[in-house]
Amino acid sequence: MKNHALETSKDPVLQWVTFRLDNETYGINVMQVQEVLRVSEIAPVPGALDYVMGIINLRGNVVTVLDTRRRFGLAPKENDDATRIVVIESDENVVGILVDSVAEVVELSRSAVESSPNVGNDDSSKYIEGVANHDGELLILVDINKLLSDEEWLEISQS
Amino acid sequence: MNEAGKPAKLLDQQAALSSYLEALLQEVPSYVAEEAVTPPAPRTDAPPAPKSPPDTHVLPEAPPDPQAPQTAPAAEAGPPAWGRERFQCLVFKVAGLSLAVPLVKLSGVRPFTGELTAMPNRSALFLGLLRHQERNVTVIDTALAVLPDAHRDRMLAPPAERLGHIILLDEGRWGLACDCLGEVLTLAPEDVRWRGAAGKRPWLAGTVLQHLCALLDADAFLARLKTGVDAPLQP
Repeated sequence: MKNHALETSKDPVLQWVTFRLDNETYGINVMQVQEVLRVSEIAPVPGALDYVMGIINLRGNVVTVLDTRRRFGLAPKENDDATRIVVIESDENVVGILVDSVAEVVELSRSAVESSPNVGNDDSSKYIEGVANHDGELLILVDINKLLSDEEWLEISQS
Repeated sequence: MNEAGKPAKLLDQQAALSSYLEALLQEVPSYVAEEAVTPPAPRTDAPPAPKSPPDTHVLPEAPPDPQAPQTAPAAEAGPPAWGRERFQCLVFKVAGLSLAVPLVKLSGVRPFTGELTAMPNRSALFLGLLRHQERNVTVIDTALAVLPDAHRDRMLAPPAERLGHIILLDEGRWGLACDCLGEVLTLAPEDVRWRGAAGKRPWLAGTVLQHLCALLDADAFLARLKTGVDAPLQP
């Protein structure tokens, strides 16, 4: 999937894959999304980080699946027909994140992205890239590269 | 524990609120134009500035260290600029406490409909973002910001059950969620017991005894929030 970053003079437009978690809509840069899967059998990994649900077999490759709700501090929810695994790639690390549902791909100009509230050292300020208003709804844009620390990425890749 | 459990709980809450308000009042001595004492200038070897007689020029402080951690500026003693002449303020209720915000600092008021965009992994103090007039308003639970820890858990129902309005400050950048709105008061500076410099609550500009409400120093309140929304405002 190519990002059709339309280079206007100073305000490029990027595409974001949006997904839903707990009635909020999040966005990930389309360049980091490999594919979207229906939920299949997830094999648990004993001793893994608490937000690691387990692993799946993706065409012969092992992909770790993360519980995004847990990572975001949200209450757990039973999977349903809309639940999806979004396979993302970050610096050659490939993981799947479990989401309530996947929505549309939206185009946002860089100027439309506003910074999230400037707060103390809370965890989410690291991976929330910004917020953007789209069709009357606020999108929370996630920087996948910062969703996990370097140590966490390393641990997941070794699990 | 009282045999009549519910009435006992109500009395406990009222007693807690009364003691908290009393603590606010006791913290605020009557402001008198006494000698201004300048704190020692940081990062210099200069001795502390001597006490100066009233209404004399105070030695300027050393410039702030740009590499120093950003902290909220300490509120000054006595009335702020907006409180030196007659001013109006809007009273609002927060978990039974009456607070007031000067109208000159008020950007607007909105009903609390719960239509906020919550952000992940944030403290309960941060309720979410509200879209208002092409701007994202950071909305906080004012009760959690001003009530002491000991009172919060006992007294607070979930936000959706108790919050009724959002008071907009800082040109609509911040919203303070409150239970309900009260009246608009017109006050003279002498109607307020202004906060002393040594107060533990820099967000407290003073108290209005006649109306038993605490007057908010909006600038100090927001400055404290900006250093870390999730950090408690209580000492």
